[in-house]
Amino acid sequence: MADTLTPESLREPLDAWLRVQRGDDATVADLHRIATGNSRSNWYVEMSDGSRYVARIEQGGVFGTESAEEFEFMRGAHELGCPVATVRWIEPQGDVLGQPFFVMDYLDGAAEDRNDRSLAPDLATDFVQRLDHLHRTDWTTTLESNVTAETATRTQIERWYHVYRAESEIAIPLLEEGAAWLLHHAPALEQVGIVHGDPGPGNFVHDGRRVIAFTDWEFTHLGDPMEDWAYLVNMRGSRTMSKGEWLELFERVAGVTVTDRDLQYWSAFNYFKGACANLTCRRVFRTGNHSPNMALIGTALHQTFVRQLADVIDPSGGSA
Amino acid sequence: MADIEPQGLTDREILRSVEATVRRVLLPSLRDDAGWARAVAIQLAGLARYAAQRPPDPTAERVEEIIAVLGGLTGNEIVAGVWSGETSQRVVMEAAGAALTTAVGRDDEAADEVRLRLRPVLIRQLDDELADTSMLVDAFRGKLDG
Repeated sequence: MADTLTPESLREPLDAWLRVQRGDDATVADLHRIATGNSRSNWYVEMSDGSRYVARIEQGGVFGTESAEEFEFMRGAHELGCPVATVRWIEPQGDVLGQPFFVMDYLDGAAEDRNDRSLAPDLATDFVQRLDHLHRTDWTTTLESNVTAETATRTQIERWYHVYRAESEIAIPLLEEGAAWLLHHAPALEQVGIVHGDPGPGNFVHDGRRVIAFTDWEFTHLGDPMEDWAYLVNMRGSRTMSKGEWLELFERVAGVTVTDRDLQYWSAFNYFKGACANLTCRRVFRTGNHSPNMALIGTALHQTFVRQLADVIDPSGGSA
Repeated sequence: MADIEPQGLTDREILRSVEATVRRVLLPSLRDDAGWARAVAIQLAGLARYAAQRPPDPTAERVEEIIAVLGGLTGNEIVAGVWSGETSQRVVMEAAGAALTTAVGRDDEAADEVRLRLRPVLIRQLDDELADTSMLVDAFRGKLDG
């Protein structure tokens, strides 16, 4: 599985595959793992002609997401003018490296530390504008889907519920309650948009003032964009600025109003999604990828999300 | 035979060695640009510390506690509808989940009883678990000492 990948084990098969995809004789000159990301094993690839790529390799079903879907959303978003690295080639079978993967262009950015969640004011404004554009863009011209406003949210709840149940033969009562609560309280959706699913500081490349590309598209789907706004406030962007500052920014830059009810519902959804997705890492750790991040995500981080979900929907707060 | 003193190393002793070696020898030896290796080393040290310190697995006691709660709610129409009385872990946890699920959106005595008596036990069990595993969250975020 992917934790056993080394530059030595990757170089030859990747080199041969890239020669076929590119149709030339350039060879892999530099190959090393990039110190970011848990869903995929990301590798920096520099060719002998100077071309630079990222090979994004699956890790045995981590988070229940697939390269093929991620590749398709990135390709579609690129065609729609959204900021995203150009995706080049995909190997969805796992025949070449033992796991499905795709290759995209490498982009230089200003940020060195992915854990640095700070955003300069201009950059925060540009980020919110671009995320709003992603949400509002007419995806029907490039993406095929039968998702409708009536089915979008339920589809997502059921998707993540099935991911959890596929991972655990033993029910987790607080997750069962969470799924029921989300279905019961699902808000009406007017228009289906592209939802990034994991937006925010650390998941986009920038030059210090403007977004160059959104990264980490593995959770992208069609649904209610309110999911992304709540995710920024309570999860990925929670260390960047206060809830009040985020909400003011959404309103001022994108004309998006996030109510307390929206925030409660979509925070619950995001904790539910995180709890279900993280559970996949426990199985991956047990069955072949013994990297410690898999153990940590599959246990403590999963439990943390379950606890946060239970807190958000706490019936003593009058929500149930 | 009485008074046997095991002569082998315990798992706990070995795990302490893993943590100490990663922290004192391997981590300081990594190059500054070895970001992935550094992140994984910290996570491994945290995992080893957790494994050395964690208490015996409490799953059986927790299932017994939930059985006791459900047993005390047999007169509750929700619990009566979702639990047969079978005490296997799978059936009990499924029943606990179904009871909470059935109570969602209901504003009646049976639903209140499930929320007031079953849910707090599940929350407390989760909190107990998190008290043991929180060091793993720190390690995931690159911290070894909280």
